[in-house]
Amino acid sequence: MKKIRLYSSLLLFVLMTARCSNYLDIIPDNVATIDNAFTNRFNAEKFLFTCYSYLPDPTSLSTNPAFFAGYEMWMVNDPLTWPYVQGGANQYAYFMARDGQTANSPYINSWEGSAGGVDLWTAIRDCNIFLENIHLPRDMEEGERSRWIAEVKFLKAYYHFYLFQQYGPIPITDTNLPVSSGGTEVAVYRNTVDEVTEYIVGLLDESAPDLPVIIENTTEELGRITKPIALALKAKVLIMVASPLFNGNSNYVSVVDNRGIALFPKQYEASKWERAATALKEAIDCAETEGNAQLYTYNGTYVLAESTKQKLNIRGAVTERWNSEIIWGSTESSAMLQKSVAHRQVGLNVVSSHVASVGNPTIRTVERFYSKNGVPIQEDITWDYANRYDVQVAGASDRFLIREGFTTAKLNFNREIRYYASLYFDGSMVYGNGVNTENTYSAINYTSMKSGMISGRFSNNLYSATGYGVKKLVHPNSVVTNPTFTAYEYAFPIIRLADLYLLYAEALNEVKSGPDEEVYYYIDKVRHRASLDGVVESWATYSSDPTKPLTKNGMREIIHQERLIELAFEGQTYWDLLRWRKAQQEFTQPVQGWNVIGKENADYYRIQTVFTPPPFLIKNYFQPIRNYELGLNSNLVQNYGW
Amino acid sequence: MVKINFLFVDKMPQVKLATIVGLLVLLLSGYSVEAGNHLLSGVDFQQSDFILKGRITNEQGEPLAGVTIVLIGSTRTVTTDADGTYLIKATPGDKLSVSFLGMKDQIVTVGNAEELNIVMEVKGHELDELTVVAYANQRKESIVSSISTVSPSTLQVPSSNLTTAFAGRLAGVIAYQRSGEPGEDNASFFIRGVTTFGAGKKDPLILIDGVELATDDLARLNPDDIESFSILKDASATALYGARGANGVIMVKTKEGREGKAQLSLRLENSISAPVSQVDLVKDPQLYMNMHNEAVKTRDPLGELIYSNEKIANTGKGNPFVYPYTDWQEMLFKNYTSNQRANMNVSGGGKVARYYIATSVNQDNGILKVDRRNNFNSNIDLKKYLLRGNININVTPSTEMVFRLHGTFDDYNGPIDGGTAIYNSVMRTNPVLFPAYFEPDQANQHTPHILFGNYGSGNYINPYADMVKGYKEYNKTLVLAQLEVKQKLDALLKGLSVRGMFNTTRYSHFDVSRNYNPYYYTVGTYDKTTDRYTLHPLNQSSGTEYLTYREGQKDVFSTTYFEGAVQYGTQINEKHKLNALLVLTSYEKRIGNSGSLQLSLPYRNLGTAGRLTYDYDSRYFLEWNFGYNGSERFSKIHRFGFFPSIAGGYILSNEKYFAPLKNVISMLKLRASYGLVGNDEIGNSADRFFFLSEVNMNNASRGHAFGYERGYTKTGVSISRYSDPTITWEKSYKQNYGIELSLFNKLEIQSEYFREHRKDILQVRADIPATMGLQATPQSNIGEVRGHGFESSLNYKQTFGNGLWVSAMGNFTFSQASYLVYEEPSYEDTPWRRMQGQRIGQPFGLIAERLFIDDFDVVNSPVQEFGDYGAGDIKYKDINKDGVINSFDIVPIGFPTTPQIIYGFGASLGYKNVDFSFFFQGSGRSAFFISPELITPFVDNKSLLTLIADNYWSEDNQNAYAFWPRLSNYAITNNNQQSSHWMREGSFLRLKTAELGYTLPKRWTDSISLHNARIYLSGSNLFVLSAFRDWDVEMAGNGLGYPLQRVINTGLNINF
Repeated sequence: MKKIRLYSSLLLFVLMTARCSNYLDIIPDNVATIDNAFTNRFNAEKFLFTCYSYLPDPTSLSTNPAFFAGYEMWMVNDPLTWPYVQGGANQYAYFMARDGQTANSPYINSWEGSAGGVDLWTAIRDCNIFLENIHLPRDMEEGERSRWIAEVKFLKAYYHFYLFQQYGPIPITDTNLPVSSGGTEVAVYRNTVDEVTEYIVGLLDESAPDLPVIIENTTEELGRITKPIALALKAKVLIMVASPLFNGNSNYVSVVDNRGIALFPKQYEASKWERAATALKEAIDCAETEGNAQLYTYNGTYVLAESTKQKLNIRGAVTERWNSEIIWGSTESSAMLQKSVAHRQVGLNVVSSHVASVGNPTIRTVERFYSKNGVPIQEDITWDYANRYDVQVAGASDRFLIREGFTTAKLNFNREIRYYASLYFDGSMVYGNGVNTENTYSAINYTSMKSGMISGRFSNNLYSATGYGVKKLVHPNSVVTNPTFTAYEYAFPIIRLADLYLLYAEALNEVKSGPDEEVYYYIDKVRHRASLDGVVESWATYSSDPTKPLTKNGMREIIHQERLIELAFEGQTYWDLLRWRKAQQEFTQPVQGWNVIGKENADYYRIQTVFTPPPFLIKNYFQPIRNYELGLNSNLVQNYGW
Repeated sequence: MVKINFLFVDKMPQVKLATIVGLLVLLLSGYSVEAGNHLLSGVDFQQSDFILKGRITNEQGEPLAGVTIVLIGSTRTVTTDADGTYLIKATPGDKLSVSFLGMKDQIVTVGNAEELNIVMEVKGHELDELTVVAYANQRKESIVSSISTVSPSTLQVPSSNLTTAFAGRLAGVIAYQRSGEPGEDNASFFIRGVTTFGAGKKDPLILIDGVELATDDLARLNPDDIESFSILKDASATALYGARGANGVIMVKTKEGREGKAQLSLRLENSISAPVSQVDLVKDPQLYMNMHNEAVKTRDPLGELIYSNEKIANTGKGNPFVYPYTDWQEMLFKNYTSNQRANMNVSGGGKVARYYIATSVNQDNGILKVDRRNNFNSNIDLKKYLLRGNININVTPSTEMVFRLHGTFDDYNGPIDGGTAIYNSVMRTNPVLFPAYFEPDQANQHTPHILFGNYGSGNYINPYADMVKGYKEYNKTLVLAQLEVKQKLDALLKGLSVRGMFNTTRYSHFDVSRNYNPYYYTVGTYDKTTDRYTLHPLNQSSGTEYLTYREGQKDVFSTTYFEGAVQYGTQINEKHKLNALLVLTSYEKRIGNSGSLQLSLPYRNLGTAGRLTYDYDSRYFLEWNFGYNGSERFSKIHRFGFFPSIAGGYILSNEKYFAPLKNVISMLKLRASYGLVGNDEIGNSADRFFFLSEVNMNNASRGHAFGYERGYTKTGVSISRYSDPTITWEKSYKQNYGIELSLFNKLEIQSEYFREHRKDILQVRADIPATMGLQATPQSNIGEVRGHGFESSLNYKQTFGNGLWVSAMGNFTFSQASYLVYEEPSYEDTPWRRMQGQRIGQPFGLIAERLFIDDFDVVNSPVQEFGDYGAGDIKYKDINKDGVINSFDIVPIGFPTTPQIIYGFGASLGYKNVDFSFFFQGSGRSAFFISPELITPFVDNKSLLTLIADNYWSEDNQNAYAFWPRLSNYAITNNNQQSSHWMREGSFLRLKTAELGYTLPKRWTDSISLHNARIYLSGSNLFVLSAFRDWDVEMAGNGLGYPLQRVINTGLNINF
């Protein structure tokens, strides 16, 4: 009997346990999972935006390597400066330029999404998730669905391209591996240059037909991918792989993976230029005819001096919101960029630290701009190249470019209009900043850059390291007052028409046996907008090398310099110099500027070396994959030299 | 009162079940039950009565008045008078029941004699012979698992934080303390070291009166309130806790009232506490400025000097506000502070009810100075109140109800960001840039606010302003209510009992900060001739004179816990003892501010556990335990786990053949155990449900904007965890071998060797390359750790006839655990980077050879890939000889960061009224790193440590073995790498406590009707022996934080 009692007690326990096992089921239904993202159009659109959200921010001084890493511009090396610059203490691009890149902890690491890099593999994974699931929402029209698919395919191609540009050939990730994968499954190989090119081009070809030619609903959709963008990107991919860095580059033939596959092509192939040229023509035609794109010129109603208007033609091509020239504009805010580079000006009693005046063009960058005759200053027979660092007093003829009566370097005189549109310097006139009503000279402000002057080294950290600043990236309607800065935001151009024109000229010059009218036509279109004569005429009249535009090699140099000037400070120079394999000669030049601690002309106008860049070696043409990743995947071969 | 007659119960099984269910329900609803067949039927037979008389005394022969004497079987009851005498009518053969408060009940048989004197013994406490084990008590002798018990009085240290007493006093516990800030001074402690890794729980399960609580709650316990303190270490001891016991269990039982008259005990302490050591900063402003200038020049010969010769010459001599020099430590910190503690408890009770009521008040003060111009206190002032009531009621002879109510309440007032932040900000402030505050200039004679100093645009840290600008208050409350019912069911089955316990815990915490925004000033103009300056305001627009207010963190949670147990014990033939226990537990916690949907869901555990022990003739012991429990954290397939263990023991000294040795070896016991325990608190607390993915459908940083004016925005979707239903708890396979030895009945030695193999440790997958594109790296039960160790404790006690007594104790713990399986890249070419095979907590770093002597040395050495470097910077060893120093050259260096050895020893001796005791504690085999970032002088205005000023590489003194590399005014990443240059050994031996006590003579105390009074003087952290002297070595890498405190304490303990 006692046993029975005991057993029944035990039974009771078991019963209680059994009854209570539901006690641990606490998860309610409808906890959000990834399936929720594709239940309807509303949520799917969020995922579409997610795919877009990985677009690297082209306006960021901190994470877009192109501003600093090519020494196109520089800034004060002072941690107290950085809080006023986008990125704050994390000036990755600047650090990369200052300290050099390492394979241990690379800056702008887009491979892993650290140190300023966007995690582009995750971006690609999200694009794949989108493409795998977008058939699910039922409340969508098929037209819209195919447009979204095309957009995401484009983004997937662009993310591949971005990695390609940074790292050279990469593993193509067309479909996602399951999350639970491990071991050899995840040990992917890098594809070859040609495979990656074909893959990206293929994706773009698939996406283009389903993309809109122009954005109708500009209020809600400007910034979304269009057909001209897809064609332009295709052209940019093709010209990149036709360029010397990728095409017949003997340095990288040794990059072979553990299967023995060489990642870079062994031979130069001229046909790659032809293919690029074809793609560029297609892109330009589509942009011009279907997308209504044309080079921007100022069409404001203010009565302005001719030179002021000419300057605005250039400045506006970048800073005029969604202007006619923009093929692909970024929807990232440009406010912080403007705030970082903007200038304090005389006439406003601005002592505020709300503009940093960093991002300072180096003497080398400044000297790239042509003389007013449209030829390089060292070639211009009318330009006093030898004495360019002497000073001169500005006369009345220059009054809308340089403050009348102001003494400044000869270097700043008699330059092409893009010089005055793109740069500010000691004594430069700065149209805008809220003063745009009428053309009264006295109302227009100017910069005064010597130490202690309002635009110069007024405070200890916020001043130009070289004596130059970038005017081109600040919209005339952005206003600095004491103590605020209000940015007039614009869509930073990722690709604009002038870019395509110059690329086309470049490609054509390579394709043809010698430059011809077709080549000149596209480069001269850009020059005319910059109030310059055509290349042949300019060189013939003013250059010490008057036949330069007539040879293929000479023309190549002219096109290169034209690009460096036209697209200066737009994040193109860095990639161009790499692609042309000119970085070794350009990125090793000392960073120079005026003696910005000088207070007097005699003291200020002395060239100072602000910084000597770390050595630039062949390996630096591509970014290293962090060593850690190579440890995880032994099939991955490191880039040459790292 | 409800009575249920059980006599019919045997008839039908169904009815029986119903009855038992009913019984339990009744028990839990607070009814008491009395078994029917237990009722006494009074039969009064009157045969040859006579008057029995006698005297009842205690053991000392003192008469006891009021003793109750009942003639069993009758209603006859008498009590003793003042002389302890009684008279009762009785018959030979009758049985008398004698009972008195606080004395053991006696049953005496009446003989033929007419006088019967009875001596009553004081009721000993049951727990003296019993050890607290999981869910029950067990006879000490029969314990075969590894459980160490500590006498609570040894935990009595001059501190209001119990955890600070652990190191060296608890065998098998690795403990250390890193901060001395009141409220933040918990020691870290691990049972048998750390044998797991990752983000999960590593420290033990803490049970106070059977209820799971946090380290803070353990820290608040008052040693005077502790009845027993046990540490459950091996699988056999912890298997009943199943998936919660792998890291060991600390079990504390609070005191309960004992039968007897009310006893009041009072303890008052006042202590003076001062930092054990303070980091030395350079107090010479000229030296500071010259070195700062040097830092600029040595890196950049063209660099602009920070301080002019004029400033250097005048600082410390000229006007103290124009040429400021501030010793910030002096400015902010007092040399010492005083803390008070008081506690009181009253206990006692009668036959029916017993009570233990305790209360304590602790006041801990910080060592921060307060500015008299503010009318609020910004120093740390932490008051901790504790209230505890334990009431036991014997509802019926077989039913006991225990009611426990416990509350701890913390009231804190202190600086806005806490004390440690103040210490850190002193380190980040330039001593010559600005004064803490200015004396008003002409213009500010009537300015009502304090004119704090600052520089530049007023964005520098002024630690004085930060300290005095406001104050933070927090209030913390923890309330615990518990009801326990114990029912003996001897009627059902002799030796059977059931027990039910219900507990609820309520916690709340909130903080509020109030502060003004300091007005900062700098010197505008200065006229040397008149020595007058004017002040220039730096933040006219942002400063405020009025206080602003900020609501801080608010935390609330509540838990409920239920425990039901059936226990059965029997004895067959005197020799076979059998005990069985079956427990059902359920636990739930709900958090009010968890921050996400998934975390807001209730936390639950459910389990059954059982124990079967068998002992044969007090010689052979066998024990089998199991836990079967589950938690809501895992998917259904892995929700419940079974954790068995087995243990055996053998007491040789109870063998017959051992008898001749008994005089020397009074006890010798061997024991061993093996079993499986789990740990279900794995991973990050945010990663709760591994079987669910965590998706954020509204992640703004994954959103995007479109449109002409970027007007059309949508948030995006992100994934922070991918689902994996296979993830489950850690499993720990533990072996334990122990020997217990007692010599001459005076010396007790207990030694144990243990091994542990922990499997299924959750690890973030390490072989997932970035090309997978995962937003969150999946985790998996991959890791394995193997640990082993040794612990030993020794106790010695001897009393000499002349009133001298001596006791000594010592203990030693060594534990080491290594990664057996650790997923990581293969490191084929650099095998020294593998974690696998290394000890847990093993630091990795570069090997620093020395500093570069000069530029020639730099050129001729391998390239170092950590940014700029040159002569005087740290030169690292090229391990793989590839001519480049990078992450490939990182190797394991030094000991683990958690000490592998903790030991302690001490002695007490007393002679008549005086007693003295001391206790040393040591720690061995650990390493720590000085953080160069935290002490790099000049960078971010950091102060200059004397340590650096005394020994650095300079162009004049190119000492390749200097402590500090070449100065710099910006961070040199090359030197900040984790390397052997910054590694130090953490071993130390310290005089942890010493105490001198004097018990007031009996004749004095008696005269004021005190039972006992003792005054004492004690101290803690009195001195330390260590190779590292720059700050208190126990603080390790946290050396610049709030220092550990040395305490001198006076106390008074009175018992009424």
